[in-house]
Amino acid sequence: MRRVESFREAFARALVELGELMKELVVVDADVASSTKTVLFAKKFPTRFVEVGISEQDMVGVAAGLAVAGMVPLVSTFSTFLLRAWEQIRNLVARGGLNVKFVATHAGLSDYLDGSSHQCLEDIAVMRVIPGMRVLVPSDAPSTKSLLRDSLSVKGPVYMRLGRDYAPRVYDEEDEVRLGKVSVLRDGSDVCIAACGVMVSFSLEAAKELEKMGIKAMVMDVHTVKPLDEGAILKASYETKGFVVVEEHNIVGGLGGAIAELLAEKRPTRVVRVGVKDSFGTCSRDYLSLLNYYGLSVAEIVKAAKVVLDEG
Amino acid sequence: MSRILNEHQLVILKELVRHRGSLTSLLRRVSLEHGTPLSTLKFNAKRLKDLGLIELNNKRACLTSAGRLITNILSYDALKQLDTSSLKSSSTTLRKKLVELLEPINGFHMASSLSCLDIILVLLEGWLALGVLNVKALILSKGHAAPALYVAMCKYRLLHECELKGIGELGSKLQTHAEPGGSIVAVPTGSLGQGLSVANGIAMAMRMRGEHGFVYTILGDGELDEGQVWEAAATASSHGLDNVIAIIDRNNHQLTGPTEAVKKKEPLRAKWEAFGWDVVEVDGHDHEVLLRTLISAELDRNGRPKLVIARTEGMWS
Repeated sequence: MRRVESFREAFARALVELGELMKELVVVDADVASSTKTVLFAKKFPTRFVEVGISEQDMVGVAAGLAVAGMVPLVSTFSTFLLRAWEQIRNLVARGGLNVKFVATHAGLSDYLDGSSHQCLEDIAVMRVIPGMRVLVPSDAPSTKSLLRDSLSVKGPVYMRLGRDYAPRVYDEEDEVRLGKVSVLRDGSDVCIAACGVMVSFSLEAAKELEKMGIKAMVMDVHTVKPLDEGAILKASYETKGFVVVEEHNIVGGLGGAIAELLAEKRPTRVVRVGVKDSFGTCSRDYLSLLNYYGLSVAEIVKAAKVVLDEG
Repeated sequence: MSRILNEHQLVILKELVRHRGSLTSLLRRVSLEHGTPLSTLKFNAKRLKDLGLIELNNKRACLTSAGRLITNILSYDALKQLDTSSLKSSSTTLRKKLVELLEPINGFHMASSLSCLDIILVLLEGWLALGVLNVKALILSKGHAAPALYVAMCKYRLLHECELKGIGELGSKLQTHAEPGGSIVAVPTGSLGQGLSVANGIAMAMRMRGEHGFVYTILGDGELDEGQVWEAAATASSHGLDNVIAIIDRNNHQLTGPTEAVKKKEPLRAKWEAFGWDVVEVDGHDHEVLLRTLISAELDRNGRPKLVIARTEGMWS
């Protein structure tokens, strides 16, 4: 069994560490600090924590102002509520090329009990379409920390998508995970499973199952959806017979879409997408049953790999 | 006034209007800048304290209400020597220029530029020519009035006359709606209702770093329909941002027609007061009154954001 940690706690702890190093780092919150866990930062650095109340559009505007004045604002709320300020993110932050970081928690189906109003399956699509926006989906606690550090070291807007509390370990603390570079976690010559977020650990399990059937699956963590590491994906398209792309997101416009766009143009390759099939979420008493309900499971990934290889 | 207070005391009072640190740090700075011995300043600061014009809280010095009253009077004294009469002819010239500039591009939001031109002129004159306003940033929340800002910027040599004609042309840096790039425009606007939030963010950053100065934003009255304006209005007062000064260009028009017919804005003053703002209503084309109003708004560091409702006309057809 993989060790399971919490995305939001890993994020919040890393944020406090980075707050010690970066005196210009400011966290902006819209009354969810106890849920996103940025309350840890607020306690440590009260003068660099801005509470605007339940007003996401204002929150993004305030962050734009902080960035104009030379601070490094990090905006954090539930991914679905940040979408309410998409136009402000586009018009103020991205159009102005401002150095604002967005860390959205409770993404995908991770807020299982709250239901479809709180579950977010569209954010990768609407964020990656914004010019200049970097889109990151860490797969576990250590990579959340590494990618957060990288996000703060680059200039310009970054959107980081995090789940809530279910983050099975993919990496060791010392493993190198870098913004913009695909992490190949397992080599294989039959099929390439490209995944992001919590689906990376599911994909590693699926690769083990496939191995038992004599199928060699490559597994890559595409934590940086934009800018996409085109070189690594094209290389995998030469080394394998096709792709399975797995994400806790609508199959429309997400990582599957990004990889399909690239491959259709540069090297037509079979791509099968595993994700939520153009639907909203729903309530569940536990997370894993909900993922399974939408076909986000080891069995579905195995099935998709066989489809790619025409064995399904 | 100068018979009651000596020159050192006047300097300390004026500096205190904008100072936020300890009294000692203020006196050290004044001592360096004016070449006055620190002991002399300390003696005079004590005198001001005895007169009840300043007070000390945990070593931080601030003006008492009597002290604020006196600094207000002093600034009005100074204002008497300020001359805004030249703005009258500038305003007429720039109005003509705006019309010439915008007619070839289908009169791009011309009335909206004309209605706020005097506000922009007064701000830039007070800031750049007279040095009586301490402007840290200016956010044109009604981004479609960028042409008014551009013609005014030409007057203060922030922009070349020859660049002006290229407005809206393919490849021109002068976008029809305000965008940053080598100018005093800090953030891109054009989508309404967003400027006050940005002004608040800049004001918060200044406070975090102990910087002086004020963030100004000019809002249209039409954009007050946007919910974000009211989110921002509450943020500014909740955070006590008395370094934010908002000016509403109250021209009574929005795209579809008269503001009160499209969506009621009144009672405008009462709404902003209810949100915790200090509100002043003035004639938005009277340069002197506008300038005096803005100077007073800067002097009154009472922990509340300031709103000027500037009644204007834009020559709507």
